Amino acid sequence: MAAPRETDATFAQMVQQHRAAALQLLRRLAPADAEDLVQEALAKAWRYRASFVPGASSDGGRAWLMRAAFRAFLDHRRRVGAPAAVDPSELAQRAAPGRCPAADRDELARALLPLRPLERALLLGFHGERCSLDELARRHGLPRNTVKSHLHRARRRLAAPEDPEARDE
Amino acid sequence: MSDHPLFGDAAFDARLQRCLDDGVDPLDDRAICDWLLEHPDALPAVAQLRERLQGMAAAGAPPAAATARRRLVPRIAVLSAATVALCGMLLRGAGSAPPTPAPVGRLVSWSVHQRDSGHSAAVTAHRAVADSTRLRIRVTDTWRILR
Repeated sequence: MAAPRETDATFAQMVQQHRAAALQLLRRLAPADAEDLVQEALAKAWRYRASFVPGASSDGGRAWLMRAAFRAFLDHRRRVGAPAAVDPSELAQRAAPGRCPAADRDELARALLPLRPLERALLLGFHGERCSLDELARRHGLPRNTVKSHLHRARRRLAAPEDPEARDE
Repeated sequence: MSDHPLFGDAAFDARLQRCLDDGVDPLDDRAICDWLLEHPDALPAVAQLRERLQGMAAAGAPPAAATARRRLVPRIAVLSAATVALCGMLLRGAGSAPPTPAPVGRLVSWSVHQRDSGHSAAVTAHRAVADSTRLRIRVTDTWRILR
């Protein structure tokens, strides 16, 4: 077993290596509080560093730190209280310049570009315009379940890293 | 990959999609959070998806001026397409810019700016990914032309 000082050095190295990824995750989850939350996550991670086993995973501790960051986010939500549900219509009604900064819009637009036209239309219709599945089915002349499966596939594509081959067909 | 479960776990994928179909934040679902704590590698993708879907909801309606602008769009689009084609030829002729991927999304406006005391110019193009009365999302690209 490694000596405590050696373990601390390895831990510090792991944190230095993966802090940016943890911060990026928290920026996506809680943009306004990301900096505070990453500090909180790192402080907690330091307290529980004994549970970090260097070399136990091939990712050099990245998953361990991401889990710590996610726990910090969940604790934060419990403290401040999160809405029981995301209401896209409410979000859309509240939308105003500044709520979705230009840079974010650009990132979103670029993420949508590689999708197939139908997938893009369904995503924007369901999540942007807040149409129901039935409305989208009527609009596109497709069965409801077909709309649903296209929508699910579109979400998977939106979650996946950029895929240069997934261009418009 | 898109025909397969997002995270290689069909049950998780189904639960995540059901939450989104119902307009529920997946991170309010205890089972989803527990799964993510067990599979932290999936966190970035889930966070990215959630952020993008919320971004779509927050994109909001276009300003009233957009209605008038939309009437001009067909004429502008024709002119813009011709201009971009011309710029493309210039870029290829100059050999000074890296190849750019074919633009996707409808071109809605463009402009040419002189830069660096006349030694270069830039073409800026705005493309619409979504442009309805209730939702407008655009992407902007700039190409630099060296003389």
